[in-house]
Amino acid sequence: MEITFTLNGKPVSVSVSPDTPLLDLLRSLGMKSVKCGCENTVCGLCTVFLDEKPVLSCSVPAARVSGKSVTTLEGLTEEAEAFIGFIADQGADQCGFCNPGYVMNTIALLRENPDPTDDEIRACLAGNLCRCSGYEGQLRGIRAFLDAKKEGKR
Amino acid sequence: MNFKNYVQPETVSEALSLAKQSGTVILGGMMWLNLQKRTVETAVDLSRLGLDRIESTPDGIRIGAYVTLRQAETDPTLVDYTRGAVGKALAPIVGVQFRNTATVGGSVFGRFGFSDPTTLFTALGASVVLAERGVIPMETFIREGAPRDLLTHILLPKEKPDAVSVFAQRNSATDFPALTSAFCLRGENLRVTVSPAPVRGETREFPFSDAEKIPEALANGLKFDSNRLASAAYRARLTGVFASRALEEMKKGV
Repeated sequence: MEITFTLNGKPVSVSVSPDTPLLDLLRSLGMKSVKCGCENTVCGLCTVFLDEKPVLSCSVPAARVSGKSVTTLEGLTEEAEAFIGFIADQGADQCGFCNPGYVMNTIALLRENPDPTDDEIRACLAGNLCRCSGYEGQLRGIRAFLDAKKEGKR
Repeated sequence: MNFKNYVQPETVSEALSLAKQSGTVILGGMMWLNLQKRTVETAVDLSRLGLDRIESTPDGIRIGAYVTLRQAETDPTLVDYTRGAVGKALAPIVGVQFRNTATVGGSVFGRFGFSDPTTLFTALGASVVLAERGVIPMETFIREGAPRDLLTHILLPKEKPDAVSVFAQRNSATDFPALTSAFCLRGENLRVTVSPAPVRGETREFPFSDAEKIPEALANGLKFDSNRLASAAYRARLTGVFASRALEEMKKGV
């Protein structure tokens, strides 16, 4: 079936099978930031924005995005660059495999709530699993970014 | 799950007639269906039926089956009506991305014994709207199910509860709950729903004046079973503890 949608601000028309997951479609279109982890909607690696809301692309049939807007990390590099250095400073980027999904969800959180508490950050990132960082470094990185922003350093 | 055809009906009657055909599966948010390793002939996507709204009506609140858990969790009307309990009940479900896709209808139609939304809505006195069978109490629906019918809405009664409490036991964050419970007080009537997976949820009503007897009545009067998450005895004990906590909250708040 033919679908047309907006990918990172540009119109795309492609042919997909009825059961193609959005995750597979995006990777076939070169969006390699979108990772395949659990394929069972629990790990958060495949997070993308669908009409500006973070969703798990492994659970969204590609056919469902027809007429909608999809954003991947490739389309948000400027927004991500504002804080990923703070994550790296904490050594929380580690192996890097979970980072795109986790960065996407952090962007979603900061758009919705520019000054979250630590508990709000933890709650928002509960759906982004990381095998190596232990999460505390990620939290410290986001906190450092928010503090720097408040102090006018960002 | 694999499917050979993908259909997005534009009307409820079209969706219902597809639901009646063998070899079709109705898609909600595709969270649980995704776990199944099977191939179906036709997947029916309800995303174009306009069922993604929460509306106040003269009879109460009407929640479309395609409303996401995140929408429900953050909707000001529902937050106010449940006195914040909807957020407390739904926020622990996996992560924001999951709740942005999982639908209320998918959660309710599965009649899962671990469903936080189903437990809360049942305690609130909800009814379900089925395209064929019409409006039936949620308790009846949980007991009997409605195979090959189509859930379109959930209705909450007009009278806003005086107090609502929810408690669930998860052995680790974002896991399935071993037990979930909801307590809804309107006047002197306390309505309690306990969903102790793997058993389906059950509902009981008590006069609030009998508060002291309620924890024991629930722990001894409901059916519990064991699975890898918890034993039946532990679930019975949890039920009594959660009931005591809920009653304490309600006594403070009312």
